[in-house]
Amino acid sequence: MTAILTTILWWAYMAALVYLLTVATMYLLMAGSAALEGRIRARQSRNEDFDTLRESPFTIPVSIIAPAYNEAVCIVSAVNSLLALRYPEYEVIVVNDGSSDTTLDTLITTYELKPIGTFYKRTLSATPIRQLYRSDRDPRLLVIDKPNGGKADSLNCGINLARYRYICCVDGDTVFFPDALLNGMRLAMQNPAEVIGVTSQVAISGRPEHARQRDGLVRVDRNPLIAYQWLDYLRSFGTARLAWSRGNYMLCAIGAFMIWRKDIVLELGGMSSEFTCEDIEFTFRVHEYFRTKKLPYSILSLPDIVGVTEGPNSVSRLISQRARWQRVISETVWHYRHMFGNPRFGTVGCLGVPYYIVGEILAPIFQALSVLVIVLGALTGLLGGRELVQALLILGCGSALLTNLALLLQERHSRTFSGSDLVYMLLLTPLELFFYRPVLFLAQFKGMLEFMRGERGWNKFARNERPAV
Amino acid sequence: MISAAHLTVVMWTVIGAWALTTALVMIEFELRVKRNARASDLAEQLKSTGRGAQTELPEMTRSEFQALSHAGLPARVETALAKQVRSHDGDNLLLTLANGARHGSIEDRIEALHVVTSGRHPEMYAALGAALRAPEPEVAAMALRLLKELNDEAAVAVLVDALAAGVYLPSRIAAAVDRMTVERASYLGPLLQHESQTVRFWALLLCGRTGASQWAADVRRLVTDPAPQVRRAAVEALGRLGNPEDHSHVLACLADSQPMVRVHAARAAGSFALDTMATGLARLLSDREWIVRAAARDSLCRMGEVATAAVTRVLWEGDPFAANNAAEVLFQTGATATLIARLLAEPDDMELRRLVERLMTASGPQIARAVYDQLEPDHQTELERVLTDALAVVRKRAR
Repeated sequence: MTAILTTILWWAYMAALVYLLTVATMYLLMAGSAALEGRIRARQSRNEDFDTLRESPFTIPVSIIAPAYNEAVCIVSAVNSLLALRYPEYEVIVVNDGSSDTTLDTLITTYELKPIGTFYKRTLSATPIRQLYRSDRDPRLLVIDKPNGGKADSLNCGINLARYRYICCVDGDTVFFPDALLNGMRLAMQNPAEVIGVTSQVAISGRPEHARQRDGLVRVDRNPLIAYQWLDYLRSFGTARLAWSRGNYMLCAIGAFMIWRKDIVLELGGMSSEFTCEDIEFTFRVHEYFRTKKLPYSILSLPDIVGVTEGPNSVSRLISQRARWQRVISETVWHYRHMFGNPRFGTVGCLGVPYYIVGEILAPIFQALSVLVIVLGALTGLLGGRELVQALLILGCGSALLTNLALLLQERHSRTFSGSDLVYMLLLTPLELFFYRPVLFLAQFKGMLEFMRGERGWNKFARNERPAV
Repeated sequence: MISAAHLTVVMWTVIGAWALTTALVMIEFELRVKRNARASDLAEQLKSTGRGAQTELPEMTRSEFQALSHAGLPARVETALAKQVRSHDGDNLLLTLANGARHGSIEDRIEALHVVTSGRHPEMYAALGAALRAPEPEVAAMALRLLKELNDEAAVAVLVDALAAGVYLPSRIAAAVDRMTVERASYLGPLLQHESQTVRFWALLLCGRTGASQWAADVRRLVTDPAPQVRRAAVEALGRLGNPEDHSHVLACLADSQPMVRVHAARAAGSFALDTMATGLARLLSDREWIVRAAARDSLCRMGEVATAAVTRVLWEGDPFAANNAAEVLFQTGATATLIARLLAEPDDMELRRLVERLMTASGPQIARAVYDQLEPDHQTELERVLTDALAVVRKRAR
């Protein structure tokens, strides 16, 4: 019996080890690739004449589309930050997606909205509009009121009314930094024929309006749950997206900030409401289209933080949000499974999809296996106390090592943190395995189960009350 | 499973790597803080230095000079510092680097360009012109920035030359020329004759922006250019130059076969507050392209009262799009409010009543609601009484 158990444990141990090494190698390779991409982007940014770009009448105008569903507590901060962007010509289209709270009333009062009538072409399928409003205070602001139809539907509705050649899809709960759009469009303007999409990274805080300090640094929230989420963002946005950008296999232009050339969005039929989230699926659809037609294109990511969003500040909300993310990845990868390992889809099929499968979809299975091996090993005495501690130290420091690399890259690209915040983050990293990873593990597991059950809900978490900027 | 010794080695390796990355993060942070502090201290110190600054300048490398310049220096001090770096590094080395010698990195080239330019080397324009043609976008971006900051006619000549040669990004070069304050218009003439339509396009936009009326004849000629983007830029330039005698050219462009030309003609037409222009624009309210209709509508709104007569005629046209656009123009210019006020004062004026009825039915439910909501409650009741049928039609449509 013991021999059989030992054999099973040995194989389980080997599987978990091979998985761990594979993931670690993938992350290290991505960190190297991200370092190169970040260095180039940071150098370009340093030498760019932002003053001229900011004032240039020849800068390509952009339509910003911000869907909002029950965002009454944060919509004013978000819209204020959008209207304060330093960019020569843009419009802000807020789509009130049938909110049941006071989102629309808040917008009407704050921005002195007046009803307007306009004919528009319903190029993309979307729920019919109830009423359009234009702000008396700032004519760049257009508000669409429509019955609830989901985020993809709201984006499509906004795109139908967008006037400009580029659209920037943002979240209605994110506070943006003044140069966010300029930073993003700078890349698109360098080669508009090929750069069809740009995304970036956002920071996370309990109070997004107060996160950015006068000296340009971003304050780290002292709530460890939120700080851990930011560390997670740094790994996935700061490192992974830069690496994907380098290899031109961007797997997800984040919904909080994604710039697209409008003709591409229209050509592909807009955002899909068939999936829980629209961002990953649309990015995959773009890859599929361009790779199938063998057209040159690129979707880039910036190393800069463009804004701050509010993260879940309780474990249950975090699990709910991350379970949704896991479900979305699974839905998309399953839908586009024909790309897996398919050389026709280049780096997307041969690097991107395998990364999602190994690094995200299979993660809960192997994490469960690792926990099982360690627990059973300890219970049966096959793993002594000393080995157990050593294994945990290896995992804890290994995980912290990858997070440190993400922090190092961020610091090299642009100065983001104050000294005390940096020390705080560095102190948190070795404990991530014990306090944060288990939460993610549960969320990913829940997400897998939800995917298998075919759930499609958004699971929006409740917002904190917060004052306007 | 694996030997304890192996596990120990792996553990210490991972812990060591973790400790190393932790140290690297902190070292990176400290270095950056020190660099920034030194740059801002030096910048502050140099800002307060008097006219005899040259004798008191500290020794520094090219990269230190670059960092200091980013931190912000008075032009006089920056020039003095650059001259000092020039004498230290030697002009030959700097020019070799600035001109893109193979052994220099991109950073070396950018720093050398900066020193050569700030130090006012006689060959700086040639070096900057060559850098604008560099394949590395960072080098070209830096050259462009330095040329714009030089803000003299020689810099304009280099930029115009680059625009003609089609190097780097024309939009960025044009933006730099646009931002300069020195005389630029006189350099644009040859570009208007250029064989490349892209060059003609950018030259026209700059002519409009810089008020280059000396080239007005060329601009007029280009209104009939075979390339639509050139015609579009030419009509935009005419609108910006705003010479009254050019209105016939703009009017002709309102009937161009290309929608983008009609859009820009419609925008340009807004600069000429003339009845004929308003009539031409009102015709575009029924254009088959929404973007043209929208541009015409915006221009008519800008024209204000001058447009009222021409726009009112459109209300009676069969095309519901055109009539709706006309109603929106009248709403935006305040003509609707005036007409309703007049009707409420003279409810028996049948001609006026027919006009307001037509206006309300053409408006569609959203504008009609906006018009209605703006009235006082007793005026709303009165309007209901006077326009019963028209409002019923609007409500039916809203349902």
